[in-house]
Amino acid sequence: MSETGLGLDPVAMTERLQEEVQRTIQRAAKGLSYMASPAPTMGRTPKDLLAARGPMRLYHYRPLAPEIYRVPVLLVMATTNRGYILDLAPGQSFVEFMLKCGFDLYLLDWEAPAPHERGLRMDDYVADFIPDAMRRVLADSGEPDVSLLGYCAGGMLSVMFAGSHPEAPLKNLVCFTTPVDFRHLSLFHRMTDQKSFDVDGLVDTLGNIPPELITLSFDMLRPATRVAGQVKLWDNMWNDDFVQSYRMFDRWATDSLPLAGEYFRQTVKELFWNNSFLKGELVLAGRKVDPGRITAPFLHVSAEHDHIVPREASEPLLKMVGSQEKEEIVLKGGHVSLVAGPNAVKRMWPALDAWLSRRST
Amino acid sequence: MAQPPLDPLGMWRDMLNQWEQGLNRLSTDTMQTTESARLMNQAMALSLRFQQGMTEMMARYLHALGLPTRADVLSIGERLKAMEDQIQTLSISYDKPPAPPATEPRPPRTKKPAPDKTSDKTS
Repeated sequence: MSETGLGLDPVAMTERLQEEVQRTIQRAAKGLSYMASPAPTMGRTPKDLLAARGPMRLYHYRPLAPEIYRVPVLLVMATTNRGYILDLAPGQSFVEFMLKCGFDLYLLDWEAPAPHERGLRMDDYVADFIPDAMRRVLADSGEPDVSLLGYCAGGMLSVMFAGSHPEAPLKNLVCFTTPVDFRHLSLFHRMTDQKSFDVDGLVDTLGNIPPELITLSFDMLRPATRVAGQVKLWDNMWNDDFVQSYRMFDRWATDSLPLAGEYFRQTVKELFWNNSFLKGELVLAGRKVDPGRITAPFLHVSAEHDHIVPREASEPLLKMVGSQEKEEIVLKGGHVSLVAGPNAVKRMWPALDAWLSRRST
Repeated sequence: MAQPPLDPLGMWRDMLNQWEQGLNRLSTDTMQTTESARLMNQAMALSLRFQQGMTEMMARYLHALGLPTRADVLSIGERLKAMEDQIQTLSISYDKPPAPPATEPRPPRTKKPAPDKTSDKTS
């Protein structure tokens, strides 16, 4: 095979050029259909609505296995994001995977709080919505206990609940990438600096915190990624799998929920300014939040390259929880790829199945 | 060792990744400073004051014209939402349409973990 003086192989170059011409044609053709097609539908695994109250939505997924584990599992979603990240598409759905593994799955998801619900606080989520959902799960399943599984802020609320309700019939507690030391959410911590951030002015003026502000604050963690993502989308427009995955994740990332005003005020003052959760000084609905009182088996799963909840922000959680049987798994990946996408399919999902299945009988 | 063939598009993709990572890092470093946080929060406070002033001014004009303000429309929306929620709750309580058909009983809760999952090998 002859090579030019520049180290170029003419045959390889010709093949590469032909491939690129093909891709350019496909980009043009598929780009048009991309523009014309509707956004992908997610969260399609069949489920039944069990309860709707305020922003709370409790769903039960229809089992997909002929035989299920005794203990039902209640997923608690983060308050800023939609639960369909856990149910993207057939074959890429954490929910579908868990159902096929034989878990009886419930989802505590959130809707946008209405303007008149601006007064909702963490207390309402921890001492009202989660216990209410648990009671309903127990009634619906007919079982005496339930496993709680929370993602991000959903994990935080789950730990707060378990730490303030030690009498709750909790079989297992699983948290994904759950922040407890808010000093290490460094950019958010800086943005909400007590010296310059007027949280009272913001909440008193806006009421609920609009989703655009939530999305913007997440985007500011990686401001170039959205622009680079658009360029990469064009570059990979010929690749149907890439385009489908991009659209699903992009839609989810921009589909933030507003936060109830008082919940936000409390988050800033209690968690970012005082770090009360880590210090053990947090009191919700008159109950002290003490993760040391948690006795159920506990698993924390965190991601090595999490830019939203870095390892340092979630690391103390394992020590804080009082359970005798507790474990932490640190997996490769980021905040979202921990729970969804090809990495999650290979890493987190089987690890969780292995841990939870033998504690669900 | 043979050199990899020259790939201009591959080089362009590498450059894009480097640009993305570099800009993200630069932005994060900049945003981490107290001064930038102070400036950003000042801008936000200014914007909020402007928004509040506009809202109050518009409310006065709309009131003079006998038209509803945004707050009035939101209030009606809230009442409609509350009614919808009530209807949904009643529907769940009485009709139970979304419940799985009685002909489809739930699977038995008898599943046991596979033997290879009974040991502690998660990581």
